[in-house]
Amino acid sequence: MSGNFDLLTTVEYGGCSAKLAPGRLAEVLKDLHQPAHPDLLVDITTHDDAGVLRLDAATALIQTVDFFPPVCGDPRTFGRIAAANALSDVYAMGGRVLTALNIVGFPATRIPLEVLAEILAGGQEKVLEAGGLMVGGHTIDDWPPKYGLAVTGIVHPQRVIANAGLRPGLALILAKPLGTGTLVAGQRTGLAADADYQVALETMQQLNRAGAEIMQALDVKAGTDITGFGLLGHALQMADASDVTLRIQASRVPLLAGALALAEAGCLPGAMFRNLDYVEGKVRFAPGLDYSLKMLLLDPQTSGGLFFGVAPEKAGEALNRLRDAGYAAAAIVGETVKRAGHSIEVLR
Amino acid sequence: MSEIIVDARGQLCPKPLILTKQALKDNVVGAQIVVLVDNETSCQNVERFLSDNGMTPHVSADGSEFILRFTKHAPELAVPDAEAYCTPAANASYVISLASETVGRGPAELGAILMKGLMGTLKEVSPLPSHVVLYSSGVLLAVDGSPFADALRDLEQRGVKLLICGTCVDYYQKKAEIHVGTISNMLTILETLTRAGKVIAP
Repeated sequence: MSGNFDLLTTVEYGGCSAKLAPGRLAEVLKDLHQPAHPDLLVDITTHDDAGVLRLDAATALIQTVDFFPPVCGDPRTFGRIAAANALSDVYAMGGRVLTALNIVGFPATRIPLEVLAEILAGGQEKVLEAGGLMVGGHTIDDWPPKYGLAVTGIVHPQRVIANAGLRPGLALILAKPLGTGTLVAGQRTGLAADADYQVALETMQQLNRAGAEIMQALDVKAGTDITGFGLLGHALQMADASDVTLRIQASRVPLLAGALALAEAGCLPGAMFRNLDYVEGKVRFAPGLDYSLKMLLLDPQTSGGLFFGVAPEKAGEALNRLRDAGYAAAAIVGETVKRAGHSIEVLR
Repeated sequence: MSEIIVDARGQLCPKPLILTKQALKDNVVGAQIVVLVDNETSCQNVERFLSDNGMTPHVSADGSEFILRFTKHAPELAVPDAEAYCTPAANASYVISLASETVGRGPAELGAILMKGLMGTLKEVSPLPSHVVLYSSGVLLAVDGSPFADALRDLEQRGVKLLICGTCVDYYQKKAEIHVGTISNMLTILETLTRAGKVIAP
């Protein structure tokens, strides 16, 4: 029976915490030059969530891939989370999902094959919920297991939502609460309350589909989803791609219940420190900002929420729509201002 | 005083940090604490955590084992007041709301004198307000050539956010003459006032 197998026994760390440090990745990518192409609307240079290629005047293709080792013990839940996380990159570009392919690493022995069936079933559920088709996949013999999707979506070429495209004077909205990395680490060290951990799992399984539709309905030009680099890492990429300064008010950032208490207890996933190195020097932290709260702004998220800039007169409507669509913690967390000094200012 | 040994060898991230934090909590100021870890990442993270919180650990390596020695320097780590962040409405932040060019309802001449006093003194107040909101004829305080534009700019540079009512600016047709603060809207202004711990309307 797969029901008894705890996937977390296979990994030391999981989810997006397994990402290569962003600074090291940037070092490698800087030497990879690709000739410009007139139809390549979004490429690797702006650290976006997916590549976007214009096919014709009305259609652009979105392609993305994401996979990682287990973030939770239950195989079906892991499948759902990994799929929601991969699908999210299409949503972060404002697109809709067409097809998906499974990417699987799974050992030939040591784990019952039923566990794999459960992971794939979880992934399939989410692809269907996204309105997409699962069209195949690729599996290699690997330890620890890994799962994710390559996803294809489409968007109107004039409606691509990218990292670049913020201008001064926008309200910044975060649709899901932060803290999944801390809750996952807290659960593994036995410190997290089970009820809090269950909410974190729910959050990670929630698709960003409705959020993407709301961004499009409100004419949002710039946005992303928060994943391994944490709120500030992704905010930094947007600030630099758009050449504006982001002002984020820490006290307004929604947090998962239990996350702050865990951070207070010292439960700070190692990836937070990698993310801190990444943003160091480009973020101005207000004096007296609570240390645990500051670190949670760098918490690596798995299947995190959409983060976008919207015209201030539409911010209230955006919040109402997001909350109605099930993103109960959605909040205005800051604003954009003309670029001055730092890429990001974090206020208390 | 003897050393407090925290043996975090064999523990995965972030357990060494949790044990370190626990040791800081359990011991008095001046306590000599020694943390043992057996992987470099944990060592770096604990070191970073300690230096971020004002301590200077001495780090030595013995093969694959790392030893961090430090002294608990203060009774509490920086700003442990987590409550303030869970309930933003209850924190100490306050907002100053200025709905007029003058202060109070007395003679205009007196009101102007009081405004001058207010603007001159506000920067000395500790803590500073989180926001100053200008609306109605209060927006005229911010136009170029107003004797208060510089004081407002100074407050802004000290981190005070200046919100200026856009409808009012349009009414007075002064948009081109305002180069300080953020022209804002009713939603943002209302949210700011709602979330403030206190609103002061002199």
